[in-house]
Amino acid sequence: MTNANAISSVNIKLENIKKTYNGKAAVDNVSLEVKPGEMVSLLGPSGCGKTTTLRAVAGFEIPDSGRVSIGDQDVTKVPAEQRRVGMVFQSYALFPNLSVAGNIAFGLRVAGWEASKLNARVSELLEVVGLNGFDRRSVLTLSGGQRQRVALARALAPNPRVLLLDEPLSALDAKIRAELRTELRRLQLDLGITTLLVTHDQEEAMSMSDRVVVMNQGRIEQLGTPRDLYATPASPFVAAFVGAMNLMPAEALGNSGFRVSGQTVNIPNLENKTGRLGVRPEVIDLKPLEAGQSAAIQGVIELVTYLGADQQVILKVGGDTWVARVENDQVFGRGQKVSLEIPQNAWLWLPA
Amino acid sequence: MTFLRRGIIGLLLAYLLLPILMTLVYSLSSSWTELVPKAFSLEAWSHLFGDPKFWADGGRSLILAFSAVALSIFFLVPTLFAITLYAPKLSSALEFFSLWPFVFPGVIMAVGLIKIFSTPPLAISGTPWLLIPAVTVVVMPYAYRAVANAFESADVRQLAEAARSLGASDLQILAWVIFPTVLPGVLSGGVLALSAAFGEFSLAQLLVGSSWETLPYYQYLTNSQDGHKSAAISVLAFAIAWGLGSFALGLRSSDNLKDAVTLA
Ligand SMILES: Nc1ncnc2c1ncn2[C@@H]1O[C@H](COP(=O)(O)OP(=O)(O)OP(=O)(O)O)[C@@H](O)[C@H]1O
Ligand SMILES: [Mg+2]
Repeated sequence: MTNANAISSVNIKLENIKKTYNGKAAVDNVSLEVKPGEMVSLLGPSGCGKTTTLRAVAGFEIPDSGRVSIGDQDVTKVPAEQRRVGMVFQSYALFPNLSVAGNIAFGLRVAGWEASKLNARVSELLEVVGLNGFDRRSVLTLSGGQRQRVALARALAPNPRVLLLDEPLSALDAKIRAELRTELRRLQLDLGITTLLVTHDQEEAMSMSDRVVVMNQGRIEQLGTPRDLYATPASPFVAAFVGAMNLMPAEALGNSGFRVSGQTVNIPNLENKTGRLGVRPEVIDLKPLEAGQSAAIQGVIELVTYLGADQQVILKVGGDTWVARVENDQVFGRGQKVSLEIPQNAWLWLPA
Repeated sequence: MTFLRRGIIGLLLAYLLLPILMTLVYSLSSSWTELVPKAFSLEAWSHLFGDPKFWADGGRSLILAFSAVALSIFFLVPTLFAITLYAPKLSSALEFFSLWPFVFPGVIMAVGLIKIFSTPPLAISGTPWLLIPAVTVVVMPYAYRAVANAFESADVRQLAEAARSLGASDLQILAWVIFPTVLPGVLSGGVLALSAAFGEFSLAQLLVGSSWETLPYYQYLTNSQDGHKSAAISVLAFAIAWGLGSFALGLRSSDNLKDAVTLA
């Protein structure tokens, strides 16, 4: 994708947005600012209110209370057709009666662009999304990936102030999804267009956005850069949703000693308290134990899943189940006794 | 097993086709008083086609059928669009009301209409200006089904939202997106409405009668004079209905055809 003309970026601001359906809050007091040129993802499980939040920005839902502004203009009550936002849907929503060019030109026709400017803009966007020569094709003849490119071009054509994407890649197969993910992010950076992306795929959220908003039951659970979320999840929910995490009840014994999963571990520089300790599976290293040998944390292997690049090992430690992601050069067997080697700074307290 | 199945299908086909075949044979016979006809002739058919009144009445029937169906589609598409977008809860009520023309016999409606429209200010009784709207109402249940099905198979809500975010007003969405998207489906489903309007007799007889004669009325007049000719009209009506039906099926698959052409 090449550089199309840069856009003057504006911010999106949500203040205390609330939306209730049948007495149940779909979005519960959400406040959020997407800075000019920034790409922010709304991430969370099904039904947590991501789409409702996005639709409030698009103007398809009017919040029960709260304020939506785009470029510091209060648009809470502005009808969708006057908001100048570009929207891309999971199901493409292309106009089946129009060709590829007809779809891309739709917003320009509505805005009354003259023919020569309109044609130039359509060609420019075909180029941007890599669909040169497809202009006369019926959209019904395109693959999913091609359809979503047309939908993106159509949304961008009339120079929207912000771009809103609702699970744009979810209907595509894994390979196209990965490809389009990179292209979409590169294009967003090239254009500098402020973008809000909805996804339930944490990998997508982490890889595409400047900041991620983790939502749960209509509320914002945590907001931060992908790095922050991964390194310091604010809650067990975030820890489990962004990557994977072993979460175990732990008890401080004093003198940097802690009791976790029936083992006594020495962890210097960890806050002396009782609660839940987390460890990411990929920081754990496994060492085989000979008969009679013992280690600080030891477990018994229950299941090994080979994943190609690495392998996932499920273990019993004390009475608890732990997961480790280790390199694939070691071969483990069921029932084997191993030592779990965990770097001292990899332990993390999480609120219960 | 397959033998039984074939037998059942054969019986069914015979049950459906035999009356039409017999009508065709009757229209081609000149005297049929015993088990089999004694002589054949094309007389009934040549009479029919040679009668300028037949052509005039057939033309009126076509005008009536197409304008009634076009009118009902013209009213139904925006109505369903508005309901789908702004009041989805009303759709079951609308579906219920769409069936009312089935409940009230045409005669009741005709009598009511004649009463209202035979005196000024709107004395249009006996003219097509009363017949066409009346038939539009009568074919509404068929047309409603056709439009509702077309709406269900296209994601109208999502298309409307896509168009709206591109700046389109409701009117633009309706004219540029919804009408062209649902039209092929509506037309193919609308054939039933078309044949219902084409064959509508009781309203035609009561509301306009001989002052704006349609084909069913023509056949009604022919019935008492020449049974063979009347049979010929029946066969013709069936052929027209069959032709429209295949045209509709063609419309439905033309999307696939378009794919094949552009892919080549
Ligand atoms: N129009 C509506 N009427 C009633 N309830 C609704 C409506 N729209 C959303 N909801 C409810 O609001 C909640 C949030 O829905 P929303 O579509 O925002 O979730 P989501 O996070 O986008 O989920 P998903 O990942 O499944 O798309 C859900 O419980 C949903 O059932
Ligand atoms: Mg959603």
